[in-house]
Amino acid sequence: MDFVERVTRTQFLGAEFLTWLWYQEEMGAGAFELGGDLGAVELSFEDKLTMGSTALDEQQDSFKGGRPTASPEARAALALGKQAQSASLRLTQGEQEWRFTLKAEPLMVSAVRLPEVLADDPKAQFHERMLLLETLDRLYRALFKLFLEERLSAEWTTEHLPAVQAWAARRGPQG
Amino acid sequence: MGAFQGGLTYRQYRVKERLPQHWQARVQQGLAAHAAKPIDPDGDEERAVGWCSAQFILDTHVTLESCLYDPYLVMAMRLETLTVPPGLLKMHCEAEERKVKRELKKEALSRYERAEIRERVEAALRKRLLPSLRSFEVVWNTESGVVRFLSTNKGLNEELMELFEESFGVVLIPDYAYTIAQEPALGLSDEQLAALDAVEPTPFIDSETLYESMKG
Repeated sequence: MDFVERVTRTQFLGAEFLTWLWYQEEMGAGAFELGGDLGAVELSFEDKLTMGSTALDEQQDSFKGGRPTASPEARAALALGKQAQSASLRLTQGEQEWRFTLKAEPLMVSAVRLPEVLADDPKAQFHERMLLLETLDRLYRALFKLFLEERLSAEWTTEHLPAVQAWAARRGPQG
Repeated sequence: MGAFQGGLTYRQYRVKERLPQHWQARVQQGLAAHAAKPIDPDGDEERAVGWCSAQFILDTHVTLESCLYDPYLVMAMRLETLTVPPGLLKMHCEAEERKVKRELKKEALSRYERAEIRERVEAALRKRLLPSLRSFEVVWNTESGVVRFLSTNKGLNEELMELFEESFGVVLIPDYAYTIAQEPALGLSDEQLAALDAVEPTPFIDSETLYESMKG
């Protein structure tokens, strides 16, 4: 299998990752321990969510306003086997907060709103913005690594997947 | 919206190879050789890309010094288009066809005559039109090799990858789930990477729930 085939064939991991984040947010109140200098972060799903499944049909469901992940409509889509294709998220680390959209295919962040920049000088402002952007990049990659560690483990099918499926089967929001 | 202020929407890449020792000279050379150039209205080129300043789209004299925010390089890919709008072309062609029919005292023109008129009218209109200019910032961290292109348009991203390779002799690898997982910095083990090559999609819903949901 060549490189392009591998890239194409594993694109589904983006939607699985985003849906796994949703599951983790509900089960663990959005708290993640990323270790090292990244430490603890909190993640929450915000007011935009798109769900779809190429396996079932081409139809996508878009939710906007309020908290879509808590809505019966989004839960019904989940129960139909659809997965999150894009979602607006808020990620908090200490005093700093990033808002962005995470897209599944290709896996990427967009519409990034950085935490407040404190520098006055334009050049220093640029460097601070890039540092904040690179911190977001490290945070979301660390979350992706947490997902992959579960997803690529031998316990995925015996422990993790049944737990995710049990969560997805519940029609109402948690709590 | 952009590298210097506001929100950021971008496609992220990683430079495949390590930069050579004297990369600065190569980058300077690439910026100069592939600087954005105006489209010649006498030619038939409709679209052109090249480097320009991230601060001012008409400044195409991009030097390493002017775009260096150590360790970042910040420049922009300029897209210039010169296309005669189809509606405008159709109107002027019709006017010209009427004129030619009158001159030749003909009821109708042949397909070849109409094609010749269309070519001539389009060439004349191109000289009267101003090109459209847009630029998209590129932020390159020369230490980590990460490149961010502030557009997610598929075609523009393909043009960036081509321009980058032609200019600097390095290949850009776009972020995908697979390429991110492969990054050494992510720290996946050999065993996990082997599992990645064999991974298959799994439904996040069991078949019984799916059946019940589809029944409604």
